[in-house]
Amino acid sequence: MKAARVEVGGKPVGTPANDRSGSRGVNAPVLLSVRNIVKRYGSAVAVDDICLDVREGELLTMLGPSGSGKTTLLMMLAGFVAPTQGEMLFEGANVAPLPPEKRNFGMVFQGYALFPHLSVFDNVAFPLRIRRQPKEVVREKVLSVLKLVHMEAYAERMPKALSGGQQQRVALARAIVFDPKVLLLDEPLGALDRQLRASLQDELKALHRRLGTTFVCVTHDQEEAMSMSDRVVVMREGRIVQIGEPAAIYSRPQTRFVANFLGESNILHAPVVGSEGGKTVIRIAGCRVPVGGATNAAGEACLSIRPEHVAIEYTAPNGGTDDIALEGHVRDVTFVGADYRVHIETEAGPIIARCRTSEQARIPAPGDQVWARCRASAVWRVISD
Amino acid sequence: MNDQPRFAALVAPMLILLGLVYLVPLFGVLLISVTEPQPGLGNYANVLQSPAIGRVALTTARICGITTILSVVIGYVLAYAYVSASAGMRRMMMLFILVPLWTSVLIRTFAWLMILGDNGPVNGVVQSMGFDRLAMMHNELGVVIGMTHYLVPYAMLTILAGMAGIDERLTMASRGLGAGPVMTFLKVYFPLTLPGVFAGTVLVLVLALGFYVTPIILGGGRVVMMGEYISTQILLISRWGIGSVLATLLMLVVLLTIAAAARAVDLRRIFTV
Repeated sequence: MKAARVEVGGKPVGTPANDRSGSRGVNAPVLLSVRNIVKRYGSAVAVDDICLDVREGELLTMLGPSGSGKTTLLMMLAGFVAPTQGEMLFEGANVAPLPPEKRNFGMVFQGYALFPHLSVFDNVAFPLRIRRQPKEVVREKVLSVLKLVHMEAYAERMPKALSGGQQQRVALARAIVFDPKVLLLDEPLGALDRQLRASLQDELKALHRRLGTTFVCVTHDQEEAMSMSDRVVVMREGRIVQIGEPAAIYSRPQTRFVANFLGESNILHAPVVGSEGGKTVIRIAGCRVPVGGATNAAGEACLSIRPEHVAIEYTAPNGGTDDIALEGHVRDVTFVGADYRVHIETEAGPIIARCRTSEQARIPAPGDQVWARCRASAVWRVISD
Repeated sequence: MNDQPRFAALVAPMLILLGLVYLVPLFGVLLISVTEPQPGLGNYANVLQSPAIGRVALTTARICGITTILSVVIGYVLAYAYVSASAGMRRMMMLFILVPLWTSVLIRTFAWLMILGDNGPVNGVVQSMGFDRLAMMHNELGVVIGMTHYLVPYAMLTILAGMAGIDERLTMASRGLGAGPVMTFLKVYFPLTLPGVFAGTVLVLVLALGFYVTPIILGGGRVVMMGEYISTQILLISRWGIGSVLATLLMLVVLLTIAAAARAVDLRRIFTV
């Protein structure tokens, strides 16, 4: 995977020019810089030569399947795992040789790791007491941060008397009470049920906005990554596959893996027949169509089309437009609330269309002859990996 | 469907056996203590007034106290070393802890007799360095050494059960929040091991109170603990009344220790780790 050399849309991926501005932290100075970090366990490579700049104040999420090296990278940032090779610069100084307690980063562990022998108050006071803060200061800071996470009423409780969501809030309070410049979060919402997760995502995002602290988060949940982050780092097999704003990664995935891992994607193959204006021209369903995205090679192009960009027609569309229409028949229809997921067997391969329930004049049924239509601009070429 | 009666039936043979071989004789001892040589509480009055028995009780308490503290401290260090060791090292350590545990207490005590004796290897080293011989046998020091050696595995294994249940992320969290290794141990790790330490202390103390063989051999008649004293009363001079009173009192102390422990911590939680 030579991700770094691939260009998307004519511009290098992951540079600020590729991100929409407006979101906080995107153009801020670099706070934490990972330089050529490698981690090997014997002959196995967990993290393979990663370079990454974390900007001040941003909420950066490292996303990847298990075994992608995201947690190892986070543990190296926190100081619990020593890199085999490489540097980590924090405000310009190399922190790689420092033990965790000398780094002054806040950390929220998977499963929260609250001290079971200490009350909520004492848990949150722990980092302040270690730093020998005076008693009144400890009290004041603990109570104010507990208020921030809506847990001030539970100060005297023991951790095991709290629900998962409440424990998560206390863990968060404990990690931010000493005003760290960086907060590291390992699967912060991983242990919670779905509904709670959604509401805590919003809370976490609001907290980030309010504190202005740099958050570096690890998750395997793409929805969580997309909804919370300023930038997402997609990882696979110890390497970074793509970095960017969630919307940018979603609409312009660089590889087939990213297209499938972030959201759902239809992957089609079509022959490359030329290029024009930085775009690849492919032949699909008898039409020549210029598509954006990867421009790496001739031969066969791997294409990604998001299901929500596919519409269903019951009559053959009249040609001459920018649209691509693939003839086929409906194999299966699944009702998922707001949408119907329609599986269509087309001349170019199987395609899934996501149609708004509210916009369907006629509900497709298995066996229907249909045309799957989408705009040429919705077809995106990815690297087949 | 209620399976309760059927399960009770499965346990019944065990309960009957326990009752026959344990509770009935125990009740017999209790009965003797108030009937021999004549009915009444005379035996109890005699025991409580006897200065000789007072001395034995004091010796027993002192030796048990010292032994318990030593066993728990050594057991703690061993358990900590064990959880910090690599997998291969752990297997080795467990072997060295379990083999003595499987060896007869008589053999181990005689081994200590050899090691600690006037012409044993320890005194050989001491004398070769130009010091006087140390008296480590037929005194309390020898008894404490022998008993501690026997009890350390019990303390260690109990403490280990507690340590093994401590989430590694807790010490990581402590480090991440700014505490160095020493503070992490003092503020997080040690408090979390306390229930195990407490359980180990109770277990070792209860076992120590009933020691018999080790004090006899290593004490050589000069260090008399309660177990030996009771045995002498019953087997040698046939004062069944006094012997059974002492046995009853000793058991009472054990039960009180366990009861006090149960009040302080949730014993069921500790012993089912």
